[in-house]
Amino acid sequence: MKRSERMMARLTGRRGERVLAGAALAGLAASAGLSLLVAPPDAIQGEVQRLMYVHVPAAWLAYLSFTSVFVASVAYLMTSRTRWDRLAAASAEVGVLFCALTIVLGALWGRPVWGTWWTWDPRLTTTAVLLLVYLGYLALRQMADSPGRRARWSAVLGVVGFVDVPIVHMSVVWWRSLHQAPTVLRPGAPTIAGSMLAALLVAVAAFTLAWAYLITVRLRVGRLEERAATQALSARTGGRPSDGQLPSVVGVQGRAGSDA
Amino acid sequence: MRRARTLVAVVLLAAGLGWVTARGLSGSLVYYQTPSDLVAGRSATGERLRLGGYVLPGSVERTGSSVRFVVTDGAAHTSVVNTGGVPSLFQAGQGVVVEGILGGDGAFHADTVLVKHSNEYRPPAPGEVPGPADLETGG
Repeated sequence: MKRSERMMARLTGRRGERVLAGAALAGLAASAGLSLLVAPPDAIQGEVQRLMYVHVPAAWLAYLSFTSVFVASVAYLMTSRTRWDRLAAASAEVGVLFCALTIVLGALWGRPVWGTWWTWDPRLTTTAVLLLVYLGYLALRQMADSPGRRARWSAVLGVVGFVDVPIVHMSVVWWRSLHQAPTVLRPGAPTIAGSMLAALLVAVAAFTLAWAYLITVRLRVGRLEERAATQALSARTGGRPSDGQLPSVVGVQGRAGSDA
Repeated sequence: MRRARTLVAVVLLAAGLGWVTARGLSGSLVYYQTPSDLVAGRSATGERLRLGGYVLPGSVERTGSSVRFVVTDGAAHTSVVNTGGVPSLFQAGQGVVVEGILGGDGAFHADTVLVKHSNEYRPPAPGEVPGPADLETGG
C-alpha cells in the first residue's frame, strides 16, 4: 500500500469529520421534513414559497463563506501562516458553489412569482458581481507561480472582494429593486409567521453544519495536497526543498502519481 | 511593520472601492422610475424604461389580450397599457415593475409586467386557498 493511501485512509476515518457529517445529514433530513410537510404554504404565493427554505440558507452560506475568506485573508496578511491561506481557499470554493446555487434557486422562484427568471435589479446584479469576484479569486489562485505569492495575492483579493458582501445585503434597502427587502435580518421583528420562521431557522442551521463539514474536508485535502507537493519535490531533487517554497500544487499531482 | 502598512493600504483600498461603488450605483443605477419621476419630467418619451409602483385598486381593465391599469406611488399616477400578459400574482394593490415606453399620449405602453412581492410570509387564513387565484391572462 502506498504511503499516501495509508495516510488518506487514516485521515478519512477521522471521528470529528464523521460526527459532523452525521449531524449535517440529520439536520438536512429534519429540515426537509419541516419545509415540505410541516410548514404551511404561503397565503399569497402558495407552495412555491417553500423554495425559501433552500434559497435563503444557500445565500446565508455564500455570505458566511466570503466572510470566512475575508477573516482568513486578514489573518494571513498579518501572520503569513499557510493555514490561513488554506482556510481562505477552502471557503472561497464552497462560497462560489453556494453563491451560484442561490442564483439558480432564485431564478426558479422568480419565474412563477415575479414573472421572470432574471432581471438586472440591484440585488441580482450585485450578486452576479459577487460570484464573478470569487470566480476571479479562484482563477487567481491558479495563476500565481509560487505558493507564497499565490497566498499574498489572493489574500489581497479576499479582503477587497469582501466589500461586495454588505452591498449585496443592503442593495434592496438602499436602491429600488424588484427583489423584496430582508424578512429576518432587518431592524425590527421578522415579517414571517412563526411556523415558517422555525422551518427557516432549522434549514439555516442544517446548511451551516453541512458547510462546516465541507470546509473540514476541503482543509484536509488542502493539507494532503501540500504534503504531496513537498514529497514530490524532495523525491525529484533528492533532498529537502532548497528554498523552503512549495512547488505549485497543480503541477505536482501528476508527478506524485508517476513516482509512486 | 511593513505587513501592518500593507494591511492598512489594502483595507483603505477596499473601503474606497466600496464607497465609490455604493455612490456610483446610487447615482446611476436606478432600476425603475416612479410615477412622480415621470410627472417631474425626468424621462424622455419614446425611451425604453421601467416604471414601478402599486396597481391602483379598481383601475384594472382587461380587454381582449391587453390589460389597462394605473400605477401609483401614492403621490402621482401613470396609466399603463400592457400587451404582454401578466404573472398570476398580478392583482389590484400589488407592487409591480413594468417595462416599456412612455408614449406621447402620457400613457405607459408596457410589454412586460413583473410582480414585486412583499417581504411578508404567512399561512393561509382558515378557508383561504393558498397561492394565486388562477386567473392567468396570457398574452
